[in-house]
Amino acid sequence: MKLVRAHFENFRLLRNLDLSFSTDPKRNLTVIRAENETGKTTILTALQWALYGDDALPGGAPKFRLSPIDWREPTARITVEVDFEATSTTRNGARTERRKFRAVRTATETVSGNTWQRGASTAKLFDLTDRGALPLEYADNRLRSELPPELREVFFTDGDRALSFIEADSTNIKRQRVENAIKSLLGLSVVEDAAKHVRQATMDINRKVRESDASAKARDASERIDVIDTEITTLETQLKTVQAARALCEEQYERLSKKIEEALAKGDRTDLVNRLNKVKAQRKRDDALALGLAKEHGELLKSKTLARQLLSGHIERASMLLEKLRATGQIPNQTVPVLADRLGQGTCICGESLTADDPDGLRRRTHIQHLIDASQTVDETQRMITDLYFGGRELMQPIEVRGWTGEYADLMDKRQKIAKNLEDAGAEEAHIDVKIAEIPDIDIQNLKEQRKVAKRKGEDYQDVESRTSFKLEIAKRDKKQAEEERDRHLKEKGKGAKLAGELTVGSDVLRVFEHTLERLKKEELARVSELMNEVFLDMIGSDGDQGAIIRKAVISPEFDIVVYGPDNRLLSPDRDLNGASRRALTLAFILALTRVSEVEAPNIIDTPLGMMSGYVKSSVVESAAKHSAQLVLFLTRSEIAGTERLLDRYAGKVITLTNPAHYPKMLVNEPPVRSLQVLRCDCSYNTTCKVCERRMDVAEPTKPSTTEPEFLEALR
Amino acid sequence: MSERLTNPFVTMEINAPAEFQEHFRRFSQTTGASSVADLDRKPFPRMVDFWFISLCVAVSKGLKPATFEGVQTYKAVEGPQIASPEWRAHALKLIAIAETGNPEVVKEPRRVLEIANGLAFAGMPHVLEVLNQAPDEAIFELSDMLEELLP
Repeated sequence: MKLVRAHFENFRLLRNLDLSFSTDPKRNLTVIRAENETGKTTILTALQWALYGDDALPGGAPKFRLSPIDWREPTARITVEVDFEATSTTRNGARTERRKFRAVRTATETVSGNTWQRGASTAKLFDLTDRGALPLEYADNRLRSELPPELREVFFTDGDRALSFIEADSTNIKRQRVENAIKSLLGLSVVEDAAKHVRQATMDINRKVRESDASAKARDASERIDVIDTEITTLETQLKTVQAARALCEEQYERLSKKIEEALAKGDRTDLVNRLNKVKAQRKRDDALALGLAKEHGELLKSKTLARQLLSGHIERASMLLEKLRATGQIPNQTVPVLADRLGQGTCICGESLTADDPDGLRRRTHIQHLIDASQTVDETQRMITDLYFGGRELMQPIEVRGWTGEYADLMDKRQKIAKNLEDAGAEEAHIDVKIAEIPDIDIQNLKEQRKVAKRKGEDYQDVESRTSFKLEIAKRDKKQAEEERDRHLKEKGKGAKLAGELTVGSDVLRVFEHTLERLKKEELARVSELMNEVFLDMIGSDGDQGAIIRKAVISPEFDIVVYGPDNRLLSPDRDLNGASRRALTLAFILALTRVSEVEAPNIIDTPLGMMSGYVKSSVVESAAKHSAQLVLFLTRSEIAGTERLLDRYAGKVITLTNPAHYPKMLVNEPPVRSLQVLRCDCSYNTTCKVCERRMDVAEPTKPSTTEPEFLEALR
Repeated sequence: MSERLTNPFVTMEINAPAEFQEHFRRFSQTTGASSVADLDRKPFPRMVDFWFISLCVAVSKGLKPATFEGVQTYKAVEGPQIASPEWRAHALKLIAIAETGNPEVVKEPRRVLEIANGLAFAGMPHVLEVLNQAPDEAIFELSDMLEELLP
């Protein structure tokens, strides 16, 4: 099908808007030029609502108001009409005629202030013939068969939503989206459903055996098969549930790992806080050390060594004078107490007797006593000099080699080291503070705990999965044995031959369907994959011979879109690809799928060129135009910039939309209406008129538009 | 031995020219120093240490003792501090002996202290000059200057 025209009434900003689309196969591109807040997304939503019903409304119908936000009347009737053409297929499959249809969806909203109420919308479908619009029955069903709802994201997409095929929190969800899109568009679901029907039919025939007059053994086998079938169905359901649960756990594990990795790349807050505390504690210790050393420095100025060195001249002179006194015996030595002690003991240091009984001892004793008496007669002055001589001896000792300079050098070394440590600690503290400030407040420890739980759950599910698979395998083997037994007994007795024949046919047909499905999956998937790769590499201008990083994009048998770099290195589409390449990849997938399916359908894409520039931007426009049956692009002026040459070649229609609320900030001229609604003009991508002329537009050639003379006329 | 014997200056005091009073306060830690920066600005643990270093500098530089005639003085240091640590009492006596050439000067503690005080205030302007060169790093400036004076 191809869109021909659309009319919108009272659908939010679209109070009364007509759009027409190019159906020319050679110029299949319709450009709707519109800036932000000019109804692009609303048009996309309105078209989907018209074709798919209330389920297509964002966030669910009950939450989505349709009438304009400034609606003043008590009720609003909302209508969207979509005219489209489709090829009717005859019974033998040949395409014969092109017919036009009109889908009309309406709803009525009761509005009261900020609240509103709306019943279910109604859809009508008309056959647009030469005789007028003829109503058709089952509008929704017919529309669904023309544009299957599961393909909504393929036909209607915006630059961000397109990424859902490669960007999602869950691998399972991405895989499911890709699988659904491929199966629906390639008709694989039909074969799958057929296989299910045949399987059900075979089960029904087996049940008939029990009710037939076949032998008891055959009936027993049939009953067993029935029980096993139920068990198999239960086990298969259980297996699917467990597999999905395991996949979810694994995805959760991956997601949490990614979060932890990202958070850790910026730094572990807890670790950093601990590190900061350690640095602070060390700095506190170093502060105390520095204070101690500064005090020690003061004490160093009090040192005896310093005084000894500074006073050396005077000390040596005084010392010399004292030595002279000592030499003349004016300074007694310190042997008096020792001598007195010996006299008390009665024995000399040399061991001789000092007792008065012995004549020699008495002689020695008398001599020593004389020496003691002489010393004790020294006067007060001599005593003071003597005190100084002996008390100050330490001060008068020769200066050590290193002296005070050595002590000062040692202290300075310590002070400099501690000052450096403090400087480093200060810098580290500041660095850690900055890092902590940069880290989002994520509790990494909690994430790690969650990851641990996800891993454990995943392992538990894996265990259940393994046991269920084993049971399923046994059940299938038992079923096969029971089937062989049943068939043997059916043949033995000659009774139930008809049923045996039906069962054989059923199982043969089932095998055919299963093989067909496998072959289709393999072959069609390969075709989509190859074309997607070709379109994608073309879009991004990747050339392996010139050392491009992206070498290949494929759809895996598990329906994952994967990208390879040099040496077949796997690249993650949502992590290793830039924004432009990611958009290009999803657009390539959508275009390849539509092309391989040979379904004629429009691709309506909102702001597809965001984050793109230069070659990639132009190349995406060209590829999209070449591979789509009908392409509708909603583009801003900045997206258009640089693609004008291609629009010249492919655009069959260009429409410009303007939001009058942008006056006077962004619009040059006062708009003809002041209500909240989108205005349309027929200005092309490179022309402007009174309605759409904007301030701070992107640089673009300003050749007069077709509507400008009328505008000038009006001015005159 | 009694304190009287180890510290003959215990009953005396150091009188300093009034012009140095502010300097004594400014460069002594006894007026308050709780941080490294304070300690580096105030090199001397006590005022007596400032006095003693000035004395050492004067001796080292071979300066003549200053006289206080007609100069207003104030009591800067109490007697017990003069001989603390103890070896300083010996140092003062040795300086006096060297200055007078007479060991018997030691029996006149007041004379010993007078000689020391004269020398200390002869040396103090030199010390102050260095301390004021970089007030925030006074202790380093002083240490470097003392190192240069060493034989």
